[in-house]
Amino acid sequence: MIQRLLDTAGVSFAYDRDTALADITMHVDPGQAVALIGPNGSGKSTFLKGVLGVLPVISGSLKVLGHDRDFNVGGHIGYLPQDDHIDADFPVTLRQVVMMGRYRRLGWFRFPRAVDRQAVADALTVTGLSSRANVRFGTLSGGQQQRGLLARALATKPDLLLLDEPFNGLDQPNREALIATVRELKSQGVGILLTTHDLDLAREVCDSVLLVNKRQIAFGPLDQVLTLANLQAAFGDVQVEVDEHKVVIPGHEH
Amino acid sequence: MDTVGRKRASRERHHGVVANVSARIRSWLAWLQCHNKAICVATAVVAVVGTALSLSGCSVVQPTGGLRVVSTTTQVSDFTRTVVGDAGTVYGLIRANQTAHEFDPSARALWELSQANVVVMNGQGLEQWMSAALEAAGFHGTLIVASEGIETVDGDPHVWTSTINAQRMVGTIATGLSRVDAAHADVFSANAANYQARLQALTTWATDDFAQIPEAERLLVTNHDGLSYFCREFSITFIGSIIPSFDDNSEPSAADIDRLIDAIRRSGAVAVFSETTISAKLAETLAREAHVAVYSGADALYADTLGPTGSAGATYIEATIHNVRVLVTAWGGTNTSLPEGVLA
Amino acid sequence: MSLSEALSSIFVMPFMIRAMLVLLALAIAAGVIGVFINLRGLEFMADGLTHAVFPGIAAGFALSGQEGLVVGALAAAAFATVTLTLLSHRRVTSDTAVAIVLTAMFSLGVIIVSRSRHVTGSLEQLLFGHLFTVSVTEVLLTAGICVGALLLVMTSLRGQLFSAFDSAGAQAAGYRELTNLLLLNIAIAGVVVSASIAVGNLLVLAILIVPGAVARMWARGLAGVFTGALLFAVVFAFAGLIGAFVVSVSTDVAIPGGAAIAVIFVAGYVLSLAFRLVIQQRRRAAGS
Repeated sequence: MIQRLLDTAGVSFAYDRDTALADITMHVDPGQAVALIGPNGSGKSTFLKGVLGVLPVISGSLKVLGHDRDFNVGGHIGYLPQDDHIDADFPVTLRQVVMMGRYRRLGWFRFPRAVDRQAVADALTVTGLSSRANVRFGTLSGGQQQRGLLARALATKPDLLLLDEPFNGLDQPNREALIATVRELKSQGVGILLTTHDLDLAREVCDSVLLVNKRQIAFGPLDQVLTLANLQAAFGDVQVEVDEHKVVIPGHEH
Repeated sequence: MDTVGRKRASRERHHGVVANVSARIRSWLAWLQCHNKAICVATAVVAVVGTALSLSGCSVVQPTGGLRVVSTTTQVSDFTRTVVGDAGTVYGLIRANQTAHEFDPSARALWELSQANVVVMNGQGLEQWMSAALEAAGFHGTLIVASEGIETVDGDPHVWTSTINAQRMVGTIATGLSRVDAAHADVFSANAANYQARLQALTTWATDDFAQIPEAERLLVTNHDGLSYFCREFSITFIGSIIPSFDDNSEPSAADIDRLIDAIRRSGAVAVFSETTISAKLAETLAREAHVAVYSGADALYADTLGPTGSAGATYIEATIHNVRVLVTAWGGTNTSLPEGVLA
Repeated sequence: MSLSEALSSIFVMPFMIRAMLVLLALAIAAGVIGVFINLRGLEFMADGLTHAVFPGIAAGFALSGQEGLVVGALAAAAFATVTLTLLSHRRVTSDTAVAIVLTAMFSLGVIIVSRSRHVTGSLEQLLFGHLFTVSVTEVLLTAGICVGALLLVMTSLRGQLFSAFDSAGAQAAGYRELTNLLLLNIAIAGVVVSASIAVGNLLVLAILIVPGAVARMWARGLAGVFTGALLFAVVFAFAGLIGAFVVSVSTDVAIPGGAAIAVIFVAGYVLSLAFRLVIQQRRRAAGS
C-alpha cells in the first residue's frame, strides 16, 4: 500500500486556546492534488499551519509523511505562504531566497553543494525566473515574488507541497504556467494541498476537495463534494459572491 | 547609451564631487559584496591587527629632565609639588574641587601614570581605583604612600586634615623621592624642612586661635565626616554629619536627618558647616530645622579637596587658614593675624 | 607634551591594548548581531534588554564590586531575555511587553542603587562604562561572551535569516520561531552585558544598532550588509577610542571612552543618512 503523505483523523487546531478548525479527516496521496476550499476566515490557512506544525493539535490525529507531528519533517515539505508580509528592502537576491528552500537539508554549517545549486537552478527554470536570479527579491513584481516563493518551495524537492492561495493575483499566462507546474509535480508523485476560492481551478488540477468552514463540511472526489448543499453549508450567505466568480455549482440554476 | 548610463553621466556632470564619491563607495561596496563574508572579516581583522603591530614598533619617548611624578589628591599634590620644587614635574590626577571618591582615571591620567617614575598617593583606602589604574597604565616606577606610618582612627583615610599628620606626610614624600632620585635628595629634604616649618607655624597659630573658644563650645556639624583628624588635633567635638559615611556620594535617609537635628539641639551647637564639594542644600535645610546658622558658599570648609588657583583654599595652608578662620568666627572668636612665613 | 609622543605610545600601553581588544570583540559581535536586530526589527527589544540588565549590574556591583558586576548582569540578562522573548512570542503586543519589563527592571536598578551606599558613587561608571580601566579578566570575559554570542547567531544563521525574511516560511521549513528568537535575544543580551563593562549600559544601544542601520543604507546584498556593518563597527569603535585618547592626552580633558565611541557612531549614522539623502535628491533631480 502506498504511504499517505498526509493523513488526518478528526484533527483540530487552535490559536491561543480558541479552536480555529475542528474535526478534519482527510488525506493526500502521492501524485494527488487536494483543493482546500472555504470562505475567508474559514480556517484554510490555519489547516496549512497546523500541518506545518506551527499550531498545536488539540485533538485527533495528524500524520505527516507517516510521522506523528512532533517529528520535524521540515526538509520534506514545501510551503508557499501568502505573499503579503515580505519586507521589500530585505537585502536578499531571488537566488538566495530560493536557496532558503534548501536550508533544512544544508543544516547549520554545510555550504551549498552542486546538488543544492542545481535544485535552485531547476526551481528557477520551472518558474521561469532564471534570468532574474540575481535581482534583489524586493524589486520583483508581485507575480514574480509569488513565483519566487513557489520556486523556494520547489527547491526543497518536497514530497508534500502546501500552497496558500497560489493563484491570487496571477495574470493569465502566470496562472497557466502554475497549472502546468502543478500537473508536472503531480506526475512526479508529489502530493499537493492548495487553498483557493476558485472552484474552476480546483476542477482543473485537483483530484479531491476538502471543504471547510471552521470545521469539515466534506472531503472526497470533486463531484461528490462540490454539491449545492455542501457549498451552501460552507459558504452560507456569501454564496452570491461565489456566483459572481462565475462558479458553476452543480444543480444550481441561474 | 542606456538609461542608467545616461543618468549617471548627467549626474556626474552636474554634481561631480558627490557623485564621484558615491560612485566610489558604491563600487567599493559592490566589490565587497562579491566576496565571501568570511574573507572580508578575516581581511578586516588582519588589517587592524597589522596596523596595531606596525605602529607598536614605534619607540616611546622617555621623559627628560628630572623626575616625572604623578600625585593623587589635591593635598598630596600640593605637598609633592612643594617638595619636588624645580627638580622634576608633578602631574596631579585629581583636580581642584574634585574628590578621590568620584575620580575615574581618564586616558590622560593613565598616560601620565605610564610615563611617571614615581606615584605619590594618600593611601588608607582613599584611592580605591589606584591598583587597577597602575596596572592598566603599566606603571613600573616607585609608589610612595604619603600616609605611611600614620595611625588611622576607624579606618578614616582623611588623615591630612591634621596639620601634624600633614608634616609627617611631607617627610614621607621627601624620603621616598630621595630614594628614587638620590642626586636631588638635598633639594627634597631642604624643601620639605622649609615646608614643615611653615606647617608647624600654622599649627601653633591655629591652636592659639582656637584657644579663645572653650573646648565645650567647639561643636562641629558638617555635611560629611571628613575632618575627624582636624577635630582631634584642635579638641573639637564632632556632633554629626549629614552624610553618614566617609564616602561623600551617599545620601542620608529622613531618619538620619531627624537624629542629627536632635543631636544638634541637645549639644547646643550654633552652626552647621557645609563643605566646598557638596551641595549646601541639605545643610541649609538642616540648619533651618535646627534653628542654627549655616556656613556655606564662600564660607564652606575645605575638607576632601582644595580649591582652584585664586580661591581661598588653593593650597593646603591657605585652605587650613580659611577653615580655622571660619570656625573661630562662627563660634564667636576673633581672628588673629598670621605669623610671618606661614604663607610663602 | 607632544601629540606624536602620545600617539606613539598608544599601542604599548596595557590599557589601550585592552581597550582595543575589548572593542574588537564587541565590534565584531555587535556588527553581526546588529544586522539581525535591524533585519528583524528588534531595536526596541534590544533597548528593553539594555535597561533590564541595569539592575543586574547594580546588584552585582553592590554585592561584590567590579567582579560581581558581570555575574549580576548575566543573571538579569538571562531572566530578562527569557521573559521578554516569551512575552513577545505570546502575542502580547511585543512593545507593550518590553515597555513593562524594562520599566520594572530599571526601577529595580534605581532602588538598588539608591539603597546601597557602596554603589552610589559608581553610578556613573555603571552607566558609562570604564573603557580605559578594563582589567585583563574583563577583557577575557568580554571576549568570551562575545564569541559565545556570535556562535549562537552563527550556528543558527540560516534559521535566523529565514525567520527574519519570512517567519511563516521559516516555521514551515521546520525552524522553531521561539528557539530562533530566544537564541538571537540571548546573543543580544550577551553583547549588552559585555558592552556594559566597557562602553557603559547607556551607550550599548549605539554600538548595537548603528552599524547594522548604516550598512542597510548602503549595501544591497547580504554579504555587503554584514561586511559593511562589521567594518563600520570596528573602524568607528577604534576611531572613537583613539579620538578620546588623543583629545584627553593633548588637552587634559577627561573624555569617557564609551561616550566618545557612542558619539562617533551616532555621528557616522547622521553623516551616512545625510549623504544618502543628498544622493537621493541628486538622483531625483537628475531623473526629472
